[in-house]
Amino acid sequence: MKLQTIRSERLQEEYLYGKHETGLEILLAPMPGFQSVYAQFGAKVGSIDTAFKTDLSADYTEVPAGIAHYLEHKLFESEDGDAFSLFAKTGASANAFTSFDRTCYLFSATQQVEESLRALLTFVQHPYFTKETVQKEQGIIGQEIQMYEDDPDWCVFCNLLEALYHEHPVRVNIAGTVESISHITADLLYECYHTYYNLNNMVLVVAGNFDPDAVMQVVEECLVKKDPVTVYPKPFEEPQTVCRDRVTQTMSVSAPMFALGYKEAPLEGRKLLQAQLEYEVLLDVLTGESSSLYRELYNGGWINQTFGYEVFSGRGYLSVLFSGEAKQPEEVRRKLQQALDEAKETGITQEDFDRSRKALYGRLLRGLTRVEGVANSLMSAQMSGISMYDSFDILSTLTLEGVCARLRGSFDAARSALSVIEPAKSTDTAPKEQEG
Amino acid sequence: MGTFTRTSCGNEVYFNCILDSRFKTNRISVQFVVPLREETAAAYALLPNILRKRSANYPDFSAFNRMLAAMYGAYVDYGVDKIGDAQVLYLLGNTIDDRYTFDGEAVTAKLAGVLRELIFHPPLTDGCLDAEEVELEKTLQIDNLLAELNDKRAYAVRRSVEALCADDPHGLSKVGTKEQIAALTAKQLTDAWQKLLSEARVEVCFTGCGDPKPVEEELVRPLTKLSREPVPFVANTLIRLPNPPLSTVEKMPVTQAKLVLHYATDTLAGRENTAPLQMMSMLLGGSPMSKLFVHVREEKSLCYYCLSRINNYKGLLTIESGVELHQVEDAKAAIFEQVEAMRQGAFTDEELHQATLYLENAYRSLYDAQASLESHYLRQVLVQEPEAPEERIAKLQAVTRDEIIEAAQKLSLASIYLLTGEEA
Repeated sequence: MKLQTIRSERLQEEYLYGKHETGLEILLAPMPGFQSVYAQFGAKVGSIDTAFKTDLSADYTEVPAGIAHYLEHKLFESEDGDAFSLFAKTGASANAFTSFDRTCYLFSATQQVEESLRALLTFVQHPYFTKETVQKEQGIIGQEIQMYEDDPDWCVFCNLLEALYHEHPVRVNIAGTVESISHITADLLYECYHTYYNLNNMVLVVAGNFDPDAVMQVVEECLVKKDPVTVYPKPFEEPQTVCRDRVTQTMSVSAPMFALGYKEAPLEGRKLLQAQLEYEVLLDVLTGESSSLYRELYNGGWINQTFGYEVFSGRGYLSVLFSGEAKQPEEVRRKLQQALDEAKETGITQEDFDRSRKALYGRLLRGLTRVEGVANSLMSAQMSGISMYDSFDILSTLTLEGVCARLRGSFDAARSALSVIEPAKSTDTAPKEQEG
Repeated sequence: MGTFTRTSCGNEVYFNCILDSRFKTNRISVQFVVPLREETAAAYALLPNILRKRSANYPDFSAFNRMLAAMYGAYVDYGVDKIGDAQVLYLLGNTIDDRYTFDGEAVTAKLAGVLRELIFHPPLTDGCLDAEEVELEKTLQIDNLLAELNDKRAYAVRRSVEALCADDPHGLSKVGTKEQIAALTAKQLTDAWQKLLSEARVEVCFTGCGDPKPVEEELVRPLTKLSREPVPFVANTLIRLPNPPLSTVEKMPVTQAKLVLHYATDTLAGRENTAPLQMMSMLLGGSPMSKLFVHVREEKSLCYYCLSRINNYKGLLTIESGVELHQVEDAKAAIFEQVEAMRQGAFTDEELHQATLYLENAYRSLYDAQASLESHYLRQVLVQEPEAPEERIAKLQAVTRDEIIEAAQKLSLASIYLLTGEEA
C-alpha cells in the first residue's frame, strides 16, 4: 500500500498516512535520533458505546455499562496465556486504556520493535474469552472500580457528568459498576468485539525511531482481513438543559473539592477543534494565572494551586469544566459566573488574545517534543477526523472576533452544574445525595 | 545523545548540562539540597511557593504570568522533594527553543534571567518578604498538607514511612507539620531564604537543545559570587530495623484497603552495588510479568495493583497493594509466599532475561524525555558519581542469579501498615 506524506511547513515536520485495504488507517511518524518507539492500536469504542447495531443486524443490542473496558482487560488473554508474556520477550512496556470514546492498546520499546508490533497486532486481533476467564476478571475489575470509588478527583468529575447529562452515556462511569459488570458474558464480549474491532473502525499509530518499510512489512503480515462492518450507535435525545444543578457527595477528604461544568452544544471534526482552541484562549485570558480573576480568587483564599480548567469533548458531548479545592465552592461558582458574564459584555483585548494564542502555540509545540506526545496527538487527531497539524493551522487563523463570539454564545449559567465532594465527619459514610 | 556534563563551580555549586539537539524545548532547573531537619523543613519548603510568584522587577503576580505567557507559554514550576535524608527545593523554567519562536527571540536566555530574579531578588519591604503573601501561602501549604489524605494510595505509603522512620530524618514530612507551618513569620521566611542561599548545595541543570551559556551567566555565576557556608551531610543512611516488625493499622471510611510492607535491605546507593536488589525487585513486583502481578493479582484476583519498588537512599524495599477489605489476610499471605519464592530462587533464566530487557527498555527510554533524564542524573549526584543510563544497563546485565537470591535473602520485614475501613 502507498503511504502519503503529510507535512507541516510551519513546523518543518512530517508524518506518513495511509488507508490499508482492510480499512485500517495507519499513521507513521519516524523520529530519527530518538531511542524509543511508541505504538498505539486503537478502536473507536469506549464506555459511551452502550447500544449499537450494524449493517448486518436489524435491532439494537444493549450491553452492560463498562463492557468496553472489560473487553480491554480480556483481550490481553489468549489461549496460550497472557499478551504481556509476548512483550516480555522483547522488553517492551505494554499497556492499554479505555476512555469515553476509544480503546487503545500500546507499547513503548527501544529494541525488537518489529517483534513488539507483531505482538500488539496479534493479540488485539485474536480474542479468546471463556466463561471461566470472564468470570475471573470480575474480581480484578471490581477492585479497580472500588479503587476509583475512593478517589475524590474521579468521583467529583463523574458526579458532574451525571449532573450535566440526562441521557448521554458519558454520564456512566467508564468501568461500569460492580453490578453492571456482573452481567458481562463471553458471548457479549465476542459480539462487542466483532462489531467494534473491525479494522475499518481502527487506527494504528507508530512514532519514534523505526524503519517505516520494516513496520509496513509487519503490518501486511499481521492484519487479518474481514468483511467491513459499519456500526450505528443507538441515537439518544440529549436535551440542552442540565440534569441537575448541583450534586454533593461526602468522602474522606480534607477540604471540599468541586467541579463546575458548562454544557455546550456538541461539535465534530475541525469545528470542534476550532471551538476547543477558542475556549483554550478564552479560559487562559479569563481564568488563567495571568488573569485578574485568578489573582482575586487565589489571593482571597477562594482557590488554591489545584484550580484548573478543561475543555471536555467527544462524540456527542462538549463541556467546559473548572475544578479544584475550595472551602466555599458555591462562592467560587458565583464569582466565576460573574466574571464570565462581565467578559461577555466587554469582550477581551487584542493584547490578551495575542498573548494567550502565543502561549497556546508553545504548549501545543511542547506536546510534540516527546515520542509519546507525537503518538498520542496523531491518534487523538485521527480518531476525531482531523490531522495533527490542524491545531497549528487553525490556531493561526483564530480571530479576536471569533473568540469573543464564542464567549458570548457560551457559559450559560442555566446550563451549568456544580459537583462537590464534602469532607466526611469522622465516621460519616453517607452515600451520595442528589439535589436540584 | 543526551550528553551529560557536570562542572564543580566551587563551594558546592554545580552546573549540570544535558545537551541534545533533538529536543525542541529547554529546561532550566535550580535545586537546593539541604538536610531534612525538623527546625528548617517547614520554612524551606514554603520558600519555592513564595519565590516562584514574582520578583522585585515583576512585583505583580498577574503581570509576571503575562510576561511568561508572552514567552510562548514558558512556565515556572516549583516544589520540594524528599530524597533519603535530604530535602530538595527546586524552581525550574521551561520554554520552547529560540529556533521555534516566530522571530528568533532569545527566550531561553530571558528565562534564565527570570529565574535569577525570582531566586535572588524577590520583592522585599524593609528587607522582608511580604507578610500578607507569606500568610496566604502558609494557609495554602497547610491545605495541601491536609489534602494528602485525599489520595489514599500515596497517603498509606507516606504514613507507613512516617511510622517506620519515626526516629529518622526520612520520617519527617517534607513540608513540615501543620503546626510548624502555622508558626512561621515573614521574618523567619526571609531569614530562611538567606540561609538557604548560604547553606544549600546547589545543582543548576540545563537540559535541552539550546545554548547553556546564558544559564551559567545568569544563575551559576551569581551563586559562586555569594559568600556561602554549605552544610555537609549524608543523604543516604540505613533505617534502624525494628524488632519485632512494626505493625500499624489505621481506619477511615474507605471502600478499598491499602496494604504497605517495608523490608529493610543493607544496600545503599553510592555505597553498594544496587543492581542485584533492583533486579530482584523487578522480578518480584516491577512489571506485569512479575511474581506479585502474576500470582497475587492475575491468578488470585486479590487486588488491582500489587507492586514492589526500592528506595536506594534508605535501603528499603516497599510492597504496596490495594485490596478488598475482607481479603487483606489472603493478600498478605500471597505476598509473603512470593517473597519466599524469591529467596528460594524460584525464578527461571527466562524470567531473569525478561526482567533485564524490561529495565533496559526503561533506561534507554530516559534519553527521550528531558524531565526524566534530568531526574535520573540529579537524584544520583546526591550520593554518587552519576552513571549514564547505558552504564546502568551494563551493571544490570552483569547481575547473576546468585546475587539476586542473595539480595532476596537479605530482606528483613520491617513493618506492615494497613489502611482499612472503619467496620473492617
